[in-house]
Amino acid sequence: MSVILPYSYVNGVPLKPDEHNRNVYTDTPHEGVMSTANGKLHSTNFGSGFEVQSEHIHPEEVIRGRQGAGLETLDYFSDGIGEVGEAAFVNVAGCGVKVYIPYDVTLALWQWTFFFSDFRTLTVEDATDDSPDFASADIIVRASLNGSPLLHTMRSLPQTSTTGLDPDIVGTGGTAEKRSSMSWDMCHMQEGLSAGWHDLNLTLYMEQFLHQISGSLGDAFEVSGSQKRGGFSSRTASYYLFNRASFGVRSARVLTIL
Amino acid sequence: MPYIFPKRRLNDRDVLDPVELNEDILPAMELYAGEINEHNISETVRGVITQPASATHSYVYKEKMSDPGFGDFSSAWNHPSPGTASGSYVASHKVSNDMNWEVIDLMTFTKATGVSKLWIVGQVTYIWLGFSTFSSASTGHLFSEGDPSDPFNAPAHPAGVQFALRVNGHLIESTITGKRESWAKVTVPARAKDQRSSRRKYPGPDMPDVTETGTMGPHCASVRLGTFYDVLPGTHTIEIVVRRFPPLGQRGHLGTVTYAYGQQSNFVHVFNRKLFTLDVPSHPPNSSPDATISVGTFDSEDTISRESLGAEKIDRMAAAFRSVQTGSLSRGALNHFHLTSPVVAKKQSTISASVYSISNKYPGYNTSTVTTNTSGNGWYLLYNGTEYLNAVAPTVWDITTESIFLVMANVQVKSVRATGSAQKSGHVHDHFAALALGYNNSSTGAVTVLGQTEVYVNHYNSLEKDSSGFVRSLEEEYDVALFAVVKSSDLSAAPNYFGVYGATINGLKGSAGVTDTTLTYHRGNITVIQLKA
Repeated sequence: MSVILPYSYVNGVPLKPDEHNRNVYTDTPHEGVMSTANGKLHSTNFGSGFEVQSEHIHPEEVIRGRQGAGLETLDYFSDGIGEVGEAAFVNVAGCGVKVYIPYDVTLALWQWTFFFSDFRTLTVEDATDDSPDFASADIIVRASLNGSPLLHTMRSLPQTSTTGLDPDIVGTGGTAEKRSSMSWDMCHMQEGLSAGWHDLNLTLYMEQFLHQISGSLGDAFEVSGSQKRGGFSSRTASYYLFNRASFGVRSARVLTIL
Repeated sequence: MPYIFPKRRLNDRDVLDPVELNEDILPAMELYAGEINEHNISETVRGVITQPASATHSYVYKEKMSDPGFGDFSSAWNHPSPGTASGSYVASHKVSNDMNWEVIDLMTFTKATGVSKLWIVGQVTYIWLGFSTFSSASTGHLFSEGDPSDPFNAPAHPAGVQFALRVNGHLIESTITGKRESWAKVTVPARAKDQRSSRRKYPGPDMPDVTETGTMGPHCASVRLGTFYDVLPGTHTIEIVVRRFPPLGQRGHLGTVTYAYGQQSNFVHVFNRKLFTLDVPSHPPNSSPDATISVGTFDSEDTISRESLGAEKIDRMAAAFRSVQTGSLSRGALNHFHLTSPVVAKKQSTISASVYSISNKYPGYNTSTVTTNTSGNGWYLLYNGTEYLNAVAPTVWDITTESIFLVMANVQVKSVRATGSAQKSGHVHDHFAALALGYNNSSTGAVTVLGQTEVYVNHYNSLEKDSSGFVRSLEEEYDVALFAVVKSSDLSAAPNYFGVYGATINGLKGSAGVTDTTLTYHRGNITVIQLKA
């Protein structure tokens, strides 16, 4: 409806105050120049050539973006956080974003990027090229949206070293960590997001070792430095070996669209 | 002021005061002249008033295609080589080996904005050249084992590249694909059992460490970058930059001149690349002409008449509110409840059920030959036995609305290996797989695989060399990121779906001759957002 003026002014006829008042303001929809403007401007009130301009749109009322980032390198060790089970996933600091969305949106595109290198050991039987595989304690990254895992984003970090089943027998080469260092950029689209707080975090799971000889969970492999494994020097020394995941520059972002 | 009311109502026998009469008129007039805000407008305008895409966003997109020359299944396989400019293809970008950030050729553009937030996405495909059948390159790559003349006795090295986004010369640190301390060593995760090594005179264990873990390691990779960046009014330059580090302890890279054996020099080249920026205005320049109405005011002794009160004031104002102009609205007058979504359609598909392997052959760069056979010739739409990695619209994707399709995908590549019994010992690095985005034409059923989205991954993960010559292949466990922007105007028919396609490229290592390659993948997703343009 457009603006209705119920009263016409006529020369020579006494002005009717109540009718004039209705031309200015009434409770009747679309009557009166003041009352129409009070939240009742409808599409028919707009000129035929009217187009929404970018300055008309309140900031972030259609598209909004948030991001968080971490720059300092973080090292996670399996003997520090290694556990078994769903509860063992921990957030990777700096690779998460939390956003308040004040209205329902059509979609949210979550993105997260992280650079990593890892030292993850694969146990092999012997030093031959096609030696049978044994255990390899897992290192898993997975995104968590509002506390729920996104299964399609689950990834294992690569194995980068080998350890002999019997530490007294097998001598293996160094580590492939430097060539398996890389940056991943991943995404997830969430449809029909409700107003409120939402967050996404990259989570990390580091499985504990199951010792190949003792069979005990949590015992690390015992290696001797004289075997020159994994970059160990030739000096005689004994170590417990674990896994490590190191994270470099990382960030998480969310783009929401009305 | 959001709501306006008469200060007093005119009553019988009132003296007509010009000030009070003017107050019946002026508030609405002032409102019309650029003060209409979110409280004045009914939410019923949503979807009725014209809302062009330019009101909510604008974009700049640039993509360049560069062919690494892998060959194809029907002729011959080749090791990758520098891309040359030909037709719509551009030359590959050769990354300088000097550790300085440099702009990747053609990956720069400008965007004029007001106060805005930019959503920037970049993607590049790089390959560290040097794949070779030369006998000393036992792993199929001349330089990744250090000294190309003696690859068995040198330590493995990473490709050594870092990428980042740069805006107006400001490197965005959070986009660097590396570690902040690029030269820092990391410790081998070991805990010493003894406080003193038996053959050392100093106390304390001797802890090993690992170097060169701060840059991209694989010989080739797809790198996708992204950020939000707030800008002030002006013209902004957006770029993708790259730098390359030499091996730790070396002044430079070996083999950077024409290699003595006629092979590729030690350089990283960037092939396919693309850069996208979505400009989301937060305080844009005002583009609306002023909206005013001339109603005048009453003075003492003025005559009240049909003309002076009706035609020249009340009627004129009513007419103005029947035809509100763009300049009548104040800055930020429209909120989400007044506006429609610029999203035309969207879809995400995921696969996660099981690990799957394919060995179908690559049909050549920017070639859309497809196959439904996992060992056939052509691209294969990724499938895991129960799920396809494609984004299917409810019917078809609508292209009648001028729009862009933002397509992103991720694929978990478990490994790229020699096929068959050589899975573990076939450790040469020149086994490749290619992944790309494509779409299916709803009119013809034909598939178009987008050459500009081709990315490559090779078998880079292996442990080489100790004193006994031990070599052990390990799974890549790589995540391939894909990205494309497709304009609806570039499509001849509506797509049925967008999908992720894969193919393999045979290895050429030495006496083993041409060897089939198997690509094994597991999880993945493809996301398509169709945005009005």
